[in-house]
Amino acid sequence: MPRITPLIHVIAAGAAAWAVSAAVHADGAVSRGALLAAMCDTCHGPGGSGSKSIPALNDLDADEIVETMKAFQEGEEDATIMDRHAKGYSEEELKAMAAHYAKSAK
Amino acid sequence: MAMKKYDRREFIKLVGAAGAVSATGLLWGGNVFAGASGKVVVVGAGFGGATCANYLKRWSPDIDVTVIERDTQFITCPFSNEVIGGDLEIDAITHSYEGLKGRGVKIVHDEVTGLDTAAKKVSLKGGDSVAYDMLVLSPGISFKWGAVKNDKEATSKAMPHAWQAGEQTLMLRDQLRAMKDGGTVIIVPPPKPFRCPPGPYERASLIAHYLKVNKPKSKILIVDSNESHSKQAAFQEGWKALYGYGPDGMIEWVKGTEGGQVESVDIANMSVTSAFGETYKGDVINLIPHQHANNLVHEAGLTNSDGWCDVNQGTFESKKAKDVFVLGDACVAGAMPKSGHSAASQAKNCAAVIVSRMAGSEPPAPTYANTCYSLIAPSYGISVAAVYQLKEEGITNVSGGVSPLEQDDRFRSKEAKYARAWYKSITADMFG
Repeated sequence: MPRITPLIHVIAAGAAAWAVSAAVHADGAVSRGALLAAMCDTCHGPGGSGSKSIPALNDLDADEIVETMKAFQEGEEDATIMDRHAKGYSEEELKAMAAHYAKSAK
Repeated sequence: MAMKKYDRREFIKLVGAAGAVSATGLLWGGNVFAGASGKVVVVGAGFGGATCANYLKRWSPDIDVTVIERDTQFITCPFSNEVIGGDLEIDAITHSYEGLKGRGVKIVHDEVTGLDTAAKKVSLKGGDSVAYDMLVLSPGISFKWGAVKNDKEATSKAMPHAWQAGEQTLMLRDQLRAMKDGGTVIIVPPPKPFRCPPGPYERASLIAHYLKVNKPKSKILIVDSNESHSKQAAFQEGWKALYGYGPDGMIEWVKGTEGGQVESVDIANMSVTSAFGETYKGDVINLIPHQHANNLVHEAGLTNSDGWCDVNQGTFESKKAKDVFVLGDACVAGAMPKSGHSAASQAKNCAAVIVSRMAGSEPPAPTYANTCYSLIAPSYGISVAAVYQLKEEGITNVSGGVSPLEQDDRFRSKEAKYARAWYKSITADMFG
């Protein structure tokens, strides 16, 4: 592992605090959007950052995520696996996960 | 001692939510949000435990998280079949715990010798005892030695199970390398439920891939206790296309009622015998033992009569002990299969419950997903996926299924690529 400079520590700490505030409500509860997005992150990378051929989600607009997921549900978007996943979520859930990515985007 | 902020739950009952909010303001004056604190001990740092520890820290850096893990590195079962087939080195599936330490998780490399859920402490082989407010157990499986006659721990030297990755993985690989062309490889899957339902069939595929190139006159016989298996139609389609399937092909599958129920094994003869008396001789035998939840949770009295842990499927809290959560292969999780992805999904729900509870708040409604890729060849992938919801009867499948049949090479190659991307992602999510 390369040695990390103190400056990067400071930036990393700032980013971590922001990620926490986007995931956790004022009362300390984890938000439903954060939990839903965490399901996506298992394949799409920590924080939706993307992983090889699996695309990033954290740089998409909330509307784009919702619209694409709806297109997967309707079979209007080419898919290998996302059609099977998309059909499991309600519109409200799609909006919550999309809002989480929008909120935690840098 | 850390203040138990989850006492606030009691407070809410007394004064109502509005009063509690203003009291919170007084208690945590300058804080932007009410962070949770408390001590969580996680036993086992595989897909369930490592993911849970990581997300506890991501969502609530003030929670004190200690992971107890016997091994100093983690070798994944996912992709271990590619190591057995010789396409991947074991280093590629070996992970260190440094990333978790970097998140502020304390890692203690020791073995748990006892759980005292009344006194809320865990005792370790090294002599220490560790106290907890909340305990997360993700210990995986143990083998039911003796469920197949003559199958004891020593048998796994002659007939490796390779169902816990590491030395066993390499042993099976090396036996295949040493086998003569024209030899027979026998794979014996255990009866359901077991860790990684498609695993034995992916293994058959990747061994076939190795044999096709290196020892093309050889044969693989899957002698199966079960009547059906995971992704069955998709596997069989792939086997037909790539290796030949059936009595004249490279891969043959014998199901339970057709002589597949292995009742005993004989190391001296290198053979397995079914309940109906058929004996199959192999040059290499991969005997995967019958399974139950890890002995640790069994000895702690947390298992049911089938040997697995019943939990509240919304929170993963044990039905037998308060403030004790059981994740992954060891627990009964409704429709979810015993996969690494399932364990990670459960771990995130459990972390959300613990973080929210420790802050004295209500956790979000649960949500679960599973994605499980199998390789039939290095560039031929298939998958099963599902999204689940918590219903009255437990965790219930609401969408998903297996990859469609009759797809072109590009579709299969995309799924193989996604399988590798999935692996990179889920391990980064655990250890990064």
